[in-house]
Amino acid sequence: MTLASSFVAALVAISVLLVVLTVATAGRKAVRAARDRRGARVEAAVRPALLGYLAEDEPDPAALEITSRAAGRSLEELSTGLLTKLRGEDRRALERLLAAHGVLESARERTRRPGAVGRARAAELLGAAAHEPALPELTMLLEDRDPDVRSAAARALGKLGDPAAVPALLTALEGRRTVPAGVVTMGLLHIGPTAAASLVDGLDSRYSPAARAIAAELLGRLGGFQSADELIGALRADPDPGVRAAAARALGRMGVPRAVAPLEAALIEEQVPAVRYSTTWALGELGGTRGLAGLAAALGSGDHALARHAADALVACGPSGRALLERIADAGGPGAPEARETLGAVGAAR
Amino acid sequence: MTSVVRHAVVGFDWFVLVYFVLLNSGYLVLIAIASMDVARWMRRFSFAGHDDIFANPLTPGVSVLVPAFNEELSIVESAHAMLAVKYPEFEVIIVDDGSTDATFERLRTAFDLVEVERVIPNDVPTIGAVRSVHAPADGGPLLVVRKDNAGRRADPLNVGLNAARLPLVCMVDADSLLEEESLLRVVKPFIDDHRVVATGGAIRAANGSTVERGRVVDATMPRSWIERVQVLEYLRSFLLGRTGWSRLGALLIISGAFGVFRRDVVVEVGGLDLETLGEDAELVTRIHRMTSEQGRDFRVAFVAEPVCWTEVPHSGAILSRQRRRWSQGLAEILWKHRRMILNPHYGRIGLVALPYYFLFELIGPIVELTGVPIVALGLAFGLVDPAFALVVVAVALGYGMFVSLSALAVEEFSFHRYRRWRDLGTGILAAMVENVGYRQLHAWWRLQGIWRFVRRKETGWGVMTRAGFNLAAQD
Repeated sequence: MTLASSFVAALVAISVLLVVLTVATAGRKAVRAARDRRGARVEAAVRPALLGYLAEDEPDPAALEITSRAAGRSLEELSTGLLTKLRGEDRRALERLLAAHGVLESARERTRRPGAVGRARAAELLGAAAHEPALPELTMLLEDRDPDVRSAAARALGKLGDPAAVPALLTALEGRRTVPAGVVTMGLLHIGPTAAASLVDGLDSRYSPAARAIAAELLGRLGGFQSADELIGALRADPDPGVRAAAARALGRMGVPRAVAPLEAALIEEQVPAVRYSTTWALGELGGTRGLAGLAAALGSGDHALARHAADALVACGPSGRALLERIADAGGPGAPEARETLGAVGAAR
Repeated sequence: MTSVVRHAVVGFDWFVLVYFVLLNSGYLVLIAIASMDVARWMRRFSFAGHDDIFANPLTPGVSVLVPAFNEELSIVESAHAMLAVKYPEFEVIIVDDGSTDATFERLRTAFDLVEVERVIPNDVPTIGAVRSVHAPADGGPLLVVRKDNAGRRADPLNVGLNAARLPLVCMVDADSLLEEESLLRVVKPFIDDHRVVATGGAIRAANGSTVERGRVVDATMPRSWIERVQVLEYLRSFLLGRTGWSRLGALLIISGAFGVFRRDVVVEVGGLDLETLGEDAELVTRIHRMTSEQGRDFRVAFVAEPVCWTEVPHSGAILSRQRRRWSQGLAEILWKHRRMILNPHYGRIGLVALPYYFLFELIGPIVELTGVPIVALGLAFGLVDPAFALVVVAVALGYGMFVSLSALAVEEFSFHRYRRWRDLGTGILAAMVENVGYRQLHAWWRLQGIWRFVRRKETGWGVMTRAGFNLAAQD
């Protein structure tokens, strides 16, 4: 091939590529616009029918006719969005509708299909509908090969509200196919206070540090008062600092008076800053006068972050804590700047 | 003698040809990888669980750090946008680096600021002294720190870092507008993977688009060609290029205009470098270096969708200053971390990313600007076959157009932010215009940046005259 023909070939190739790409891009824009218009038309037909069904006193699922696949897809999408917003009888009516049209059974089947996106969407729908019979399928998806499917399953399990899912969710934090801690946390929070009993077991050393830390944190948020002794034990002896910090926060949040002494001890003995910060915060939440000495010592420790936490905690302790903070601010020694800053912020907030 | 010259010229022309093929192919590979990543992201968006991140009480808080120097035209709009982000726990820290215009006054009036006491520790080094700290009289997560000007962007960022109190810090330019859910999305990698230490978010040009209460409500192509070309550049290099690098596990640059870092890690590496112009990329490089040397398992990620809109230069003079700075900054980083280049100890960063930036980003303007005249001279003196010269031109320009058009196509197939047919047409034309004229000018500015590095010329804040956002009519 001569240079001249090379040039012609290169020029032709590039020109063809440029034209093809331009046409493809413009074509895509046109197709998208047409598809959006079609979707809007279908939705405009399905939405009023769905809302009309929900507005009836005794909604009859058979009365709502689905005449095409596009309408079926539209119904599923609209329902998934509505399920997260509806409560009470409306929600149950929508669940009956989805069950009657075979949408939920179809979703259970789709949890076994090859496509990861399909499995995740099926899990999402089953969770939104709180379809309890799907517990085995969703638990199975916690070990799916695709991380997004595992996360969708964890979220869906939480929305089922069944405490039986707690051990599986905690176990999903470890191993080869894990679920992110944030996702598991939200799943467990969605289950609600009924999860507390199972979460106490989560403090056991057979679980991973991440699972123990989440269990401790959520016991504080879900009101697991019966677990105070276990949490104090975790604060004193768990080898993982994340668990100790979470246990301290839980004890503070639950307001367990007998936790003051172990928290004060932790504030003195603990070496890990994050645990000391949590301990300080917890002492502030518990309030009263018993923890003031420890907090004052923390304020003067020379660790700016700890001093700031201690100043906030002293304000939270009430009038006696605030009076102590004012004295430290006036004295001008270590911790005085943090004390002045906190007092200033409290004054501004007032 | 003539034979030697002929061989030298022909050899160089072949080098230029191969260089441009490799350069454009590299871009195309990155765009191809990014397009797969973006397509995957789009398919999975509906079940990504962003709402859960907002509802989760354990989602880490974010301190948004905004260095500002003479930003009176856009600072209030930007602050409104930052304060309106959807995120469970955040604070916005604007550090006024001794502005000589009404930046602070605009903020004081808009947010009813009062002076407050705030202890700012010296976790990382700073230069300019802090003069005062201000917060809204009626509370709210805004803090404005006034400090002496230190002549460099890294200093107010380090002051903001010292003042920050939340586990993550988000560095944002003062002329940037964050989308409502941008923080939720850019923080997600930290929640999904505990090894993530830094993430970058996509940045787009706000010029021409309509802004309402700190939000881009209608994305439109800008009016001037210099801005339109930058829209395309941002798509190709900042959105798709970085998505591709992230997928390869070799992301070197997280733009200072929108990046999130673990605060403890940034403090551990000593904060932003006060001596380097490209302090954002230098920080990421130093994090790579430190974590590799310590044998720590870590990730730096890029998320294509969380959009931060920024005002790009609207004139050649301002753009040239910006690009000289960027080029000088890149040269400084490559020089400072030269021992990482081709060093297997630093993994893909050492073996792929840094050599790529050296060969195609730093050296690129030299090849581009010497290649064209030498080919032309060769033609004039009959040393080069005209057909060959045209092949070089076709590959350098035509292939470049194809790459730019590919970036535009990926945008249209995925995010589809520009809704009008007119915008698509303008984008296609910009892909042509970019390669004829603008690219050569850009190479010249970059070459000047390299020259400034060679001469060790100090450059401070890149003063950029703002035109302000295109605000929607307010009631």
